[in-house]
Formats: sequence, structure tokens, C-alpha cells
Amino acid sequence: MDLKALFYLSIFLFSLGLYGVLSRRNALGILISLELIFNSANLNFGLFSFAWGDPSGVLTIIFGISITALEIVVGFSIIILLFRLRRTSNADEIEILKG
Amino acid sequence: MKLIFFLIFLLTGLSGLMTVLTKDLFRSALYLGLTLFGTGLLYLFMGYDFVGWTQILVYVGGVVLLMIFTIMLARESIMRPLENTVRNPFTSGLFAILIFLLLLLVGKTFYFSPIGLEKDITFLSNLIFQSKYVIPFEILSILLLVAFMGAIILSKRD
Repeated sequence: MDLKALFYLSIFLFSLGLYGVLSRRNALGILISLELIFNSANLNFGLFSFAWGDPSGVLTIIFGISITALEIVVGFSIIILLFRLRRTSNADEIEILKG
Repeated sequence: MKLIFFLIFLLTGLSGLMTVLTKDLFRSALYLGLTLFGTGLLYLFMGYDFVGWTQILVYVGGVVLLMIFTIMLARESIMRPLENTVRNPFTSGLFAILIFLLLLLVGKTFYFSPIGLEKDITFLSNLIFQSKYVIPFEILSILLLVAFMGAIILSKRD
């Protein structure tokens, strides 16, 4: 049980998710990368909860999992709606809010 | 035990890398599922049984399935895979590496000593129902209900 290695894994996943959010063009790809970021944050909570003996980090994981699930549900339904309107799911071709 | 931990560690990191680098969005979602599964197994290694199995159930069973359905719905024809092209990869990569180095620097200041928690599941229920977290828990359930109703209303064809 190497906690330092788990911390490195967590920040590695966070950086990967950041790269994905910044570089992907498709809105679905952005949401998938966002999921990586949430996952790394949850892993970090669990790891520090283990390292410092504080159980509220585990509770935060449970809350985080449910909030991520509902965020994904709403985000995907918005993307499906946009796809129905515009026939595309690329984030830079959707300019309905441009005014 | 150490070898198994290392293998799961490697699986999680590599499938996370493949999630971001794969061209096909469908495979990207599958690799994301593998990453989340690996993280769930790491929770099991830390002794969080309930959290690990919840992660595998909710994420791999629910969220990744939802993603796969959405990816199948949001492409123009079945024959053409959803391309996941990348826009200015060098700037984003630079930012990601900078953030990684910054977090590495932050991590140098922490002192990791594995104290551990009690393995029993009752500590979670005690924490939720016999302390100050019961109101956030109830609010979370209302939030879930509202979000699911919103998703149904948004994606309904009228």
C-alpha cells in the first residue's frame, strides 16, 4: 500500500483529464475527460482520508459519485438535444448562445 | 499482493492515458470504464469495501453504459465512427504538464503515514445519520430527483 504512488496516480489522471478537456473538440469527449478529473479528485479524497484517519473523505467520495452521475446525465441529455438541433456534437460549431 | 497492486496501478494509469489519446470516441469511453474499474479496485485495496463496489456499480455499470448509448445516438450514421479530433494539442499539453509539475510540488509538502480507517461499514452510516451530514444527504437525494426529471424533459421528443 504505497500512498505516495497513489497520490502520483491521482495527479497524473488529473493532468490527463485537463489535457482532454482543453484539447478535445467533441463535447462528448470533453465530458469523458471531465469524468477523469472527477475520478482523480475522488481518489485523492479517499487517499487523504486513509492517510490522516479522517472518515469524512469517504463520505465525500459517496457524495461525489452521485453528483458526477447526475452531472453526466444532464450533460448528455443537453448534448443529445443539441445534436438533434444542429446535427453535430462539436463544441466549437455550436453557437446558439452567440446572440 | 504487492504485484497485484502494481498491476492495478499500471492498468489505471495506462487506460487513463488511452482515454485521452484514442481517436475513436467509443473506445475512449471503454477505456474510461477500465480506468474507473481500476480506481474502484484501488479503493478495495485501501479497505473501503462499500465505496469500491459502489464505484464499480454506479460508474462502470451506469455511467459508462449511458456514455456508450449517447455516443451511439450522437453520430450521423452507424457506419461512421464518431471522430474525436484534437484542437491545439501542444498548448493544452503544455498546460497539463505545468499543472502536473505544480501538483507534484504541492505533494512534496505532505507527509503520508498510513493510519487507515476502521473497515466496518457502520462508520459510514454513523457518519451520515448520526452527525451533521444528514441534511446534505437529503438535499442530495432531492438534487438527484430534479436532475433526472430535467434530463427526461430535455431529451423528450415532443
